[in-house]
Amino acid sequence: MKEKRAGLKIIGGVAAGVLFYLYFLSAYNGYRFHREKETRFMMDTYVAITGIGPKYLNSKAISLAFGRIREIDEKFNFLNSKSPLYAFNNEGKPITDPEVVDLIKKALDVYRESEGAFDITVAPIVSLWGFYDKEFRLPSDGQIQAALRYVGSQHLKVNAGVVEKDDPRVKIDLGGIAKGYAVQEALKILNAQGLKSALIDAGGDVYALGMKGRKLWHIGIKDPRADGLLGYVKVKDVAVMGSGDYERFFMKDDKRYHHIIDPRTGYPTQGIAGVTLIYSDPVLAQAWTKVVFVHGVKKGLALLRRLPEMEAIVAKDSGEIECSAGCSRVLNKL
Amino acid sequence: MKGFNDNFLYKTTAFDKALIGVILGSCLIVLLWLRYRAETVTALAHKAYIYKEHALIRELPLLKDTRISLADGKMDIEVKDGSIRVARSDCPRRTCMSMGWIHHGGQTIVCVPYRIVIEIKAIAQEAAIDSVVY
Repeated sequence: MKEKRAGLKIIGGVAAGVLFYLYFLSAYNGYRFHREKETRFMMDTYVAITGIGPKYLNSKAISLAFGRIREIDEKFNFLNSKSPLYAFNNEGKPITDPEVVDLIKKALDVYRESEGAFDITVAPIVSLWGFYDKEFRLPSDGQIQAALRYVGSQHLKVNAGVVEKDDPRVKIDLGGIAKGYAVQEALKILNAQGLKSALIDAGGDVYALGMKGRKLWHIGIKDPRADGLLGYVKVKDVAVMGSGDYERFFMKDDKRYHHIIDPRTGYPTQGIAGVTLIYSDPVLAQAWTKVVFVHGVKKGLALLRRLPEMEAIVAKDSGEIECSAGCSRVLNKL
Repeated sequence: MKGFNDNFLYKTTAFDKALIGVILGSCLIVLLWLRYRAETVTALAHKAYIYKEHALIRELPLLKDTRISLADGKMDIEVKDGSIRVARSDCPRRTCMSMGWIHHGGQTIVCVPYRIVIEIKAIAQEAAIDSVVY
C-alpha cells in the first residue's frame, strides 16, 4: 500500500513540478519580452519607439535612439538657423559636414535613378504653394516657371566632400529623406545596444526590427480616401514607409492641392493618393515613395524594380489599389 | 497493469488529498487569471487613450458616443459608433482632422501643435495592428 501511495505522490510531485515550470516560464518570458513604448514630439511630428526585450536593455536603448534622432532633427532641419542647410540656403555657405554631405549624395543618387522625380531642390516651389508657412495659396503659372529656373539637382555640385550651388536662389530641403535617415540611425543604436525586437514609428513611417516576441509585426496601411485601413502587412526587419496626398493639402474650387510637387512641372502630382513601400533600407524607402507619385503607377513601379525585393502598395485617386509583383501576397485584409 | 487498480485510486492519505487539492486549486487560479487577462485586454480595444505631452489626460470608452473639448477649447474630439476622430481643430494644418475616424487597436491621431496623441491600444489577437503607415 505504501508503494501505491508513493506512486500517487510521484504523480503529484511531477504535476507540481510542471506547474512550477510553467510559472517560471511565464516569469522568464515576462522578463525577456518586456514591452516598453516611449513617444516624443520631434522632426515636426511624433516619434514612438516600442522595444521588446529585457527591461534594462529597453530603457537605455530607446533613450539613446531618441537622443540620436534629436541630433539629426537639429542638423538636417533647414529651418534651424544653426544647421548647415540653413546657412547653405540663406547665406550660400557650402556644406562641409560629412554626415549632411553623405545624405545629399544619397539623395542625388535617387535623383538620377528616378530620372529626376525625387529632387531635394524643389523647396522654392513648395514655398510658393505655401506648404512651409502653412498659408496655402495658388501661385501663378509665371511664378512657377520663374522658380523652376533654379530647381533641379543639376544645380548642386559635390566635390571633395563639399556641396556647392551654381545659383544663390537654389535651396535644399532634405525632408523627403531625412526621416528615413533618422529611422536608420535609431535602428543602429537599438542594434548596438543589443535590442532584437523593436518598432520605430516616425510619424507614420515605420521600421520593424526583428519579431514582436514570437510573431511578425502587423503594420496597417491607411486608406487614403476613407476612414480605416486598406489592410495590413506582416513584417520583420524592414521599413514600411508611406506618403499620401492627404497629409498636407488644401482644397480650392473642389480641387485638391497637396504637398507632393512634381519637380519638373512645379505642380502637385495627380492620379495617386497614397504610396507605401516596404524595403530593408528606410532611407531609400522614404525617398522612393515620391517617385511613384511623380511618374505614375506604370512607370513608377517599373523604376522600383531597380531595387530588388522592394514591395509597393499604390492607392490611386480613383480608389483602385495596385501593387508590385509580390504585393498581393503581402497585403492582408482585416 | 501492475500497481494500477481500484485500491491505487481510492485509498489515499490526507496528504495525497491535500496535494490533489493544491494542484486543482492552482489550475483553477491559473484559469481564472487567464480569463481575467483576456477580458482586460479585450476591454482595452474599446478605449481610446488621450495624451498631452506624454501624460495621460483622458480615457474615452469607444462604445459610448460623446464629444469633448481639449487644448483649452481649441480642439474637439468626437466618439461615435466605436470610432474616434478630431472633429474640430484650430491648428494650422489640421492634419489631425484629415486622419478621419480611427477604430483599430494600434491606430493613433496626433496633433503636433497642441502636443496631443489619441491612441487606441492594440489588442492581443492575431489581426491586432502594431502601428499604421500613412
